[in-house]
Amino acid sequence: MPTYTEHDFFEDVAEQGYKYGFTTNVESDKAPKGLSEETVRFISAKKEEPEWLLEFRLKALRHFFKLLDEGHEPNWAHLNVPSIDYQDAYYYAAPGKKAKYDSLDDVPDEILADFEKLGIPLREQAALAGVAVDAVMDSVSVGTTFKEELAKQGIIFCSFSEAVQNHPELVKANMGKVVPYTDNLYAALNSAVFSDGSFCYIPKGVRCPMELSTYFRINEANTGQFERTLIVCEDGGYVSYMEGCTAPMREEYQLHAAIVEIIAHDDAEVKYSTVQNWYPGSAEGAGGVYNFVTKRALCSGRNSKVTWTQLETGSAITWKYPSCILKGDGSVGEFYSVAFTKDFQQADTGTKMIHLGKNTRSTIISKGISAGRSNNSYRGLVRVNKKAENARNFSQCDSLLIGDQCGAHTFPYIEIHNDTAQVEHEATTSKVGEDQMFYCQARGISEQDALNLIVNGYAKEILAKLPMEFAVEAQKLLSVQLEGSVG
Amino acid sequence: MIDLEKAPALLRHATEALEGAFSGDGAPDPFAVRRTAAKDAFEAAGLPSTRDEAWRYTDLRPALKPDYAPAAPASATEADLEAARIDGLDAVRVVVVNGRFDAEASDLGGLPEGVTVASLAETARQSPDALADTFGAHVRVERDAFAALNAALSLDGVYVHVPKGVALERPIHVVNVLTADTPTFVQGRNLVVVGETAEVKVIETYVVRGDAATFRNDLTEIVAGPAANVTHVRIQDEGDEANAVTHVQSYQERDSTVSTLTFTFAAGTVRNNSVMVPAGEGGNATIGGLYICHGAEHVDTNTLIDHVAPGCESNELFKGIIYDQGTGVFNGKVFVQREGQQTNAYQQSQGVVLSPDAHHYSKPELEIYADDVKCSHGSTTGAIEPEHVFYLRSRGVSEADARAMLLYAFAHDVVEMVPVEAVRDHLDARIAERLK
Amino acid sequence: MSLLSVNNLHVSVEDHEILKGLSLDVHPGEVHAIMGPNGSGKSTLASVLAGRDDYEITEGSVSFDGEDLLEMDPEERTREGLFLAFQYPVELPGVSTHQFLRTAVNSVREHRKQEPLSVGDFLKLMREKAEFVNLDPKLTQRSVNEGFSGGEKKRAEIFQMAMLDPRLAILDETDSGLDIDALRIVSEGVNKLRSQDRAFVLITHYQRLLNYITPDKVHVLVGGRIVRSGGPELAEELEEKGYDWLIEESSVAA
Repeated sequence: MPTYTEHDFFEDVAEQGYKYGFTTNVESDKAPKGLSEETVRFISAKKEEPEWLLEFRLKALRHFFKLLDEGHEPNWAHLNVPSIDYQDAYYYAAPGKKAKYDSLDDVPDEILADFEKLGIPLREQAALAGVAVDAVMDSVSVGTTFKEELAKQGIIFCSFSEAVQNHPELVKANMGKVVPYTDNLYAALNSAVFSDGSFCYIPKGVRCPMELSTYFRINEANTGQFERTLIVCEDGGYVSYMEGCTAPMREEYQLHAAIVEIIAHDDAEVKYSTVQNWYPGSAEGAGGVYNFVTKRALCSGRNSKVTWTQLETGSAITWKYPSCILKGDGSVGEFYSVAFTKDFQQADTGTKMIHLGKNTRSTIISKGISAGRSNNSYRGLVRVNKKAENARNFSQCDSLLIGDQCGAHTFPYIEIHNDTAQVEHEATTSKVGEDQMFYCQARGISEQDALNLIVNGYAKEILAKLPMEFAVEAQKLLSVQLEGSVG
Repeated sequence: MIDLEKAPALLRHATEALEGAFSGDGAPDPFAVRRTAAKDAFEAAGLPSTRDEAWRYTDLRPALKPDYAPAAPASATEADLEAARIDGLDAVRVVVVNGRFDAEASDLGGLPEGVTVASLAETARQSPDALADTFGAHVRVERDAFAALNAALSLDGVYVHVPKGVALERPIHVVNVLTADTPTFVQGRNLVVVGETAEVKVIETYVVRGDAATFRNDLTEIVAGPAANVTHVRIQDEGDEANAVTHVQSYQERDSTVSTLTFTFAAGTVRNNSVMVPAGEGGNATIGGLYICHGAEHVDTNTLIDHVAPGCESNELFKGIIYDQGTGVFNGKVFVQREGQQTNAYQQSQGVVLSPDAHHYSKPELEIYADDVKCSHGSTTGAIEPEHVFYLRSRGVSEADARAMLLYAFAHDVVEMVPVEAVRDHLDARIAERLK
Repeated sequence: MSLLSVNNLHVSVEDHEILKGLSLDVHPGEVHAIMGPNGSGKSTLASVLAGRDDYEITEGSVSFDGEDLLEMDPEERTREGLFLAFQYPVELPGVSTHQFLRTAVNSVREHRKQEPLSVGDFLKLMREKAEFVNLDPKLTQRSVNEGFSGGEKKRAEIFQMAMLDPRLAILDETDSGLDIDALRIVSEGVNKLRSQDRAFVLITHYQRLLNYITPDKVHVLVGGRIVRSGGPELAEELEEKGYDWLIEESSVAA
């Protein structure tokens, strides 16, 4: 019988704040500061990469500088992005000075202890039941659990660096196919300097028996994190993948530019869930993570399906649009999002659903919650191309305002090039209802708890779509963020 | 900056005109001061391209291609007036030819005392003080190259002033004639000022005489006093060669109601910009429109409702029917500023796409900085419900009739927003013809 | 000593005075009915007692068990033992009844220096009380009031009352919109909850509720004042004669 009560829950919440703000004290091996061919060669050499990958990186780097020179920083988002000095940062940091760890025994105790503190025990005997975890700190994966067990079914789940060594043909065939390095400035940057991340391959007809998860941790100061994740799901395969992340509290901003690529073949299904909790900066708006992420799924096969579910609570700036290219006939894309911002946070997030195949369907449900002086925007594109017969989309985007100093915005783009499409979009913006707050208070519930209940209720539909292991954590996280938001 | 060497003819001519061809009729130019500033603003803003977020779905280059020359002075003919006639409409008739007020062709009889319907240029010459607080007062030319171009080049137009307490029952019908034996461009300009609790309805229609391409760059300003009631209706129905960029700017004091409605039946490339500012408490802003795009017609509707004051309401309804290779664009923004508490804003855009080569883009936006608001938008795009067609067919209606019937019902919602029966009848008839 | 003591209460909404010097004393164990025509200020009284903040109190005082009630936040009043059954219970989409009530019950318990209930004990309590007031347990598995019928909402209010165990319960037009069966079930719930320590204020337009719940005292509220008080027989008189004679009488008096 669980004894953890709502009351404990709220008390936990009240005490927590950003509890992930500590730093791990291990020495790092870093690349020289700044961004150059030298940096890229350094990273590639550390990871003992094959020549083709170094070439890929160098091409991406050249493209990045070209975009930067020509002023192609994405400026259409409703974000105020301070100018970033790309030369004033480190692009590679290996905690404990090792570029890779062959076994957990080699990992410094400090690192393991701190992952444990984050709720990610890596030693097999203590590992979370039913969830395989790849833990990445700065530029290096420190360990992956349940690897052998998964391998028995032919599932590959390992760090990206390891995949490059052990499964180069799979990496080469799929990497950059969904998000080419030319896609945008941050994608070019990532392609040039990406360090680690996860690789996941589900063979034909295999349902992955456990949740796969990657936990990303930025530790080193002044260091960007540029992870890269690639998920390939063969015909009839299924996988549910989950990503979590945190960073220490630092006064300077930290750059995070990631790429996630998913390829789903015939009848394959991939669920990708994110609980994004990068350090959001101080209440006064100092520091925090700048989160520029390109996530995209290619539903290449018939009747394939990809679901993105995200809870975005962290980062000073979020620029993120997990998307689906619905190429296979009958393929399905889903996007479920809760984005919460407070203090001086800015979020511009949403999705793109590109309907290319016949009878493709997409669903978008987005719930934005803004408090403090934050700005929270939904931006989403639904495009039905000329040959996408009988495409269907339904979008619902709601925004909730807490306090009168924040902003909540909705920017949908609906582009229809086929006369059989049915596309529906609805959006509402409102504040937390005074009558709802009063009703709760009239039942003896404090204002803060009432706000928690109402906002969690509002977000519940989305949070319920997260894997069970993370749903409670997500709910708690949302409540922690709500602390102090009563208007 | 605009590189004139590479710029379209329209701009070359515009620049020549700016260099001093204004006092052609010998009269002093009442807008001289404004023109210089507007010219600078136009050059600074530059021509928009699809790289600009606000123009991403409309490429103006083809519409700017013809060798346009500025419209020369001319008078209306009987045929022009006949072409502009709306059956059963009892209205005050104002005729504007090639951007100039045509007093002879206008029929201003029966206006209530105190009501002014006159030439804008003439008013500026005779009694400049009358325009001081209103003319150009609310348009932000520095943000919009075409509004700036209009401010720089417009010669004349219609000035309507309805004083406090007067309800003008008969609508004012503004007939805009453009002669186009060769490609012609014109800058139309209207100013409608309505006093406290006063009421007016302005209906604008357009006639082109000639077969050449035209480019209209119109700007209409509406200033509504406390509790005033203003309706502005435009019917764009000039033909495939008629291109336009138009701008309607309304500014409302407390408790006023302004409604601006645009119907587009036949055009080349049209961009209709509207900015409504309910600036006093209790204001009500309504904006609506219907576009039926056929052939290569491209109609882009861009609206901004700027809620700067508390307790205002806005309603927006646009419908598009697109077939052939037509393109419909709706980009509407509801903007609620910090001061706009207790705003109720409702926005709806619906498109029906009827052929495989037709395109519809919808970008309904909410940008909200006040918390005590109720704002929502909806956007649907799709074909006609096959189930509905089937239902009608199962009652013996032919498929073609069933479709026409359903489309007519779809479009009619917007027609219902027009408060003049004769105009509603005219619109219904045009819709029925279009949908045949 | 009075449990609730309302003294010369004047209340305005947007400069419009609604309660014009209302006084009322309720002792533990008593059931008071406040009756009156539409617009007499009945619901205003309920809202002011529960702490809704759209009202301006211009004069007078209210004490609850000797404490100044008007100084307390709404949740404090509830934790002190005051309960309002809403005329229009609010829907809370996505908020489970279970989570909502556990937060409420444990907040009240904490205030009473009692240990919070464990999940098991809480579920037991919920089952017990649902059965006690004849509430379909299925309703407790849904979001708070979401999609409930009018009758279900009113019954859920009585259930919440049973869960929170108040010292004073104010029922704001709980009988309105109920058919006779629902009215009987709601009344039974109230009767079961009657006790020596618990007082009730029933606010109603109609006498028929009082066929099921016999009050100790009946007050007639007209034009923001209590114009007549009496025993249960007063309710019957009102049923017979309507409110008009009292309205006339009070306007003469004013």
